[in-house]
Amino acid sequence: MKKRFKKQAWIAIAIAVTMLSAVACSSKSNTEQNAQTEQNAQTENVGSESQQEVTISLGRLVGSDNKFKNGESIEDNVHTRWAKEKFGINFQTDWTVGTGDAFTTKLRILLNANEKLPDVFTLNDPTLENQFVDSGNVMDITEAFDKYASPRIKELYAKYPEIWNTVSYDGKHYGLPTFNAISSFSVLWIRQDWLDKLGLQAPKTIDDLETVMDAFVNGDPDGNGEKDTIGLSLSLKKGVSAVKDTFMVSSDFLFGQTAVPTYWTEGIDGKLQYGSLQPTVKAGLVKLSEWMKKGYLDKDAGAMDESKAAESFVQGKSGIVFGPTWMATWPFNQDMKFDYKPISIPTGIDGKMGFGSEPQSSVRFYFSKDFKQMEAFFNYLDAIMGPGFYDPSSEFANGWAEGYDYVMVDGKPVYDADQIPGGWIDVKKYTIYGNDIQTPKKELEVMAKLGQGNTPETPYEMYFSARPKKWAEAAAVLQTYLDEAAVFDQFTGPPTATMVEKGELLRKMENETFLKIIYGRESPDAFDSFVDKWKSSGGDAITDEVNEWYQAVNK
Amino acid sequence: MIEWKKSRMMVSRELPLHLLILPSVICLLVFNYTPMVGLVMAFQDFKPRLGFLHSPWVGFKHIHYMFTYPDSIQVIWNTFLIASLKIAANTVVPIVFALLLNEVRMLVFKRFVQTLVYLPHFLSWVILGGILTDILGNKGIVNHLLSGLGVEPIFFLGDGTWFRITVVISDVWKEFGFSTIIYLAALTGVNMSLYEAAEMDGAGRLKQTFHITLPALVPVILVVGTLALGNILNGGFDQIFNLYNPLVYREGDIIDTFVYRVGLMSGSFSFATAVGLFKSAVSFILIVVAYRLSYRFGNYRIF
Repeated sequence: MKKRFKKQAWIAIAIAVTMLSAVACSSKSNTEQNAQTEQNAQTENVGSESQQEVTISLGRLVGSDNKFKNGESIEDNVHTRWAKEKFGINFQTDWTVGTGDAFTTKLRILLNANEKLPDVFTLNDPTLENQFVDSGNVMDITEAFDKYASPRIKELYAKYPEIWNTVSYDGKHYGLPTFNAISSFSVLWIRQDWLDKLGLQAPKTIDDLETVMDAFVNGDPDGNGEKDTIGLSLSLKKGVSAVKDTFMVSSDFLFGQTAVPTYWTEGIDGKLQYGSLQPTVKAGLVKLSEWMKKGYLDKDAGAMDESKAAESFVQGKSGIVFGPTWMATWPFNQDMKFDYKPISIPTGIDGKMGFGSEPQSSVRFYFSKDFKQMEAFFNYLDAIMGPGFYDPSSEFANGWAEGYDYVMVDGKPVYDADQIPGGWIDVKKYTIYGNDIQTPKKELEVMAKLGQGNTPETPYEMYFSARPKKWAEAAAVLQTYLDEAAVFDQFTGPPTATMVEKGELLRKMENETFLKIIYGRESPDAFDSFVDKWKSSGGDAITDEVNEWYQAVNK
Repeated sequence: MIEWKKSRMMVSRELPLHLLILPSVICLLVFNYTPMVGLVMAFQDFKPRLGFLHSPWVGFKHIHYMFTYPDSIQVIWNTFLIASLKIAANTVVPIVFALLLNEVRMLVFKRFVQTLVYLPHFLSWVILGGILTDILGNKGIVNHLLSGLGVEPIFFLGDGTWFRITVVISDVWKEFGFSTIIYLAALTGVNMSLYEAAEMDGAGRLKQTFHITLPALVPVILVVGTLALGNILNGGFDQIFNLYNPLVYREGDIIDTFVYRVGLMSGSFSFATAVGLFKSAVSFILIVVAYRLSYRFGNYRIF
């Protein structure tokens, strides 16, 4: 008995050890493989010395959705070979990680340990970025940008100079911000069939909107004899906020342009002021509480997140929803067998159209202070930004690599995975940025052109023509007022000292007060005491710090 | 001589077992004990760039700040209240349910019910959050039934008191089936001859339950109860985070959601660590006390 037990135990251990060593072996053979590919790459290099070669070291993100074919790897693939051939750039992989979070963490550790940073890397966390600049390990690129950036890139950045605010310290630029698309936020989606049935026009002002909502709620637009429809879908779970917190189904269009809740905007005195404190917001909250009382809003709005709140519109129970143009693909779908369409937002409480925009920049390039190859970088950047400029002559106009993310069939690009030999590969993940680098409002232009009914001509227009028609229609609508109405959060620096300490407390107080006002649990006058309390509990200090930053970056 | 031989035999017999447990011990040391070094952050002004080796020491600043932070007391109280209610309900309900199920004689039915009630345990709160928002909504099924009884619709997730009740009940609904299994397992271990003897003495089913079944369960209840006490400051992050909203911050915000917002969203790592440390300390004290008490009064050693 004893002996048998012993034998079993040893077998168990043997199995465990084998499994462990199997894991160890497989990782070992991986490194060997890598070493081999590196060697191969080196032997290849010997052949082509016509061009001056440069090496750019990178940290790479290789996620589980990052597929390879033809025996390629992140070090050696169709994109790296292209970069090598075209610009003589060797991408050297310092390390790879599996997720975006791990990427940031890895960089944080390298910074803390004062170890070698990759030559070029991207970050999207202002607090961490601030630490990188403070450490003195990243390069001031002000001169390099002037010297090497291509004309169209210079022109772009000159057109939106405030984008530099995210990387400016003492008038110098310690990184290269990349632009967001600014092409989706936001339009009003409305039930055209309900408007027609009730004999109403699309709302142009808040008063119109009230009339429409009243009819949508009390006029039985779905004709089932029950008062079971709502006027406007809203998600208030993350407070009264705009796209920065509530990415769709928010209420910010109601407040107009003077102030957007939670956004910092420049006041008449040239100083930044906090949106949630402004009188127009109080007036907006009063409106929302009236609407809640009259049943225009969903009684559960306070408990619903974005997708939950959008459901009522998708299910045909709600008449109006405010959100980005891409709602046409999600959460909207083919099963919505009713007539709805995108329209311009009505003018807000201050008589002007306005809504909170997505930030101009979310991701920034940073460069190690020892990096010398800025010229090569900017050449490469200009090439991979071709699609972002929607340049028809870009070699990437159809896609990143033929046979990978598209194939040419009868002279036309096809993106269908079944037709691509070996399957569809997301080559943009092989680029230094790992994604398309957007430029403001370019996507909107292309989409709007399609939405106006023009036949697609450029490769981009062809590509986008596969998108739902309502998306393009929404883009055409948005284009008519985007410039006039988009309100940007002008504080784009790292959280200030008092924000770190008190920010959460203030935000919680704000969300709680605003929702209680909307639900009628507190009178609108609670807004005034909130403003006083906000200022005295650290808000004044935050305002000072924010303006200190604002003055510093605008020097 | 014989002693030595015996101990050598012991070693050779137990060595494989110790080797077997070694990987787990190593994992425990690496993943559970080593990170505790990070607790020093609670006494520093932690700057990620400096790391905890170089960040300046500030003593009890963050602990002090925690108790003077305007919301802290409210948040700690919420956590304590919600967690205690959950512990109480999650102890009583499974016991009662196990006792009832134990009386069921039809084996197929018993197995079926047992499986059915423990299935919700495997659902994530992210999914349940969405489902509950629907079920408990203004036009949801619960309010529909209530309106049939002539009750005004209740905003379960937007009214403080109702929110706490909802949180506790939904947690019990999700978890009681799983705990029931433990008690049912303990019940199978009860000596059948005790029941036969009791029957001979003329005890009915109720008497048998109170005098045989329940006493047999006491050790298990003590173990489960003691371990649960360690959770007295765990209100259930997943659940609250998916259900709460600004309307119920005052009654529903718990330590974990608070730490999440302060620590991760606003980036004050030291403060968040201090709060976490406080939580762990309270849990530790409670477990030790419960352990002593159950040894003293239940005469039962848990570990």
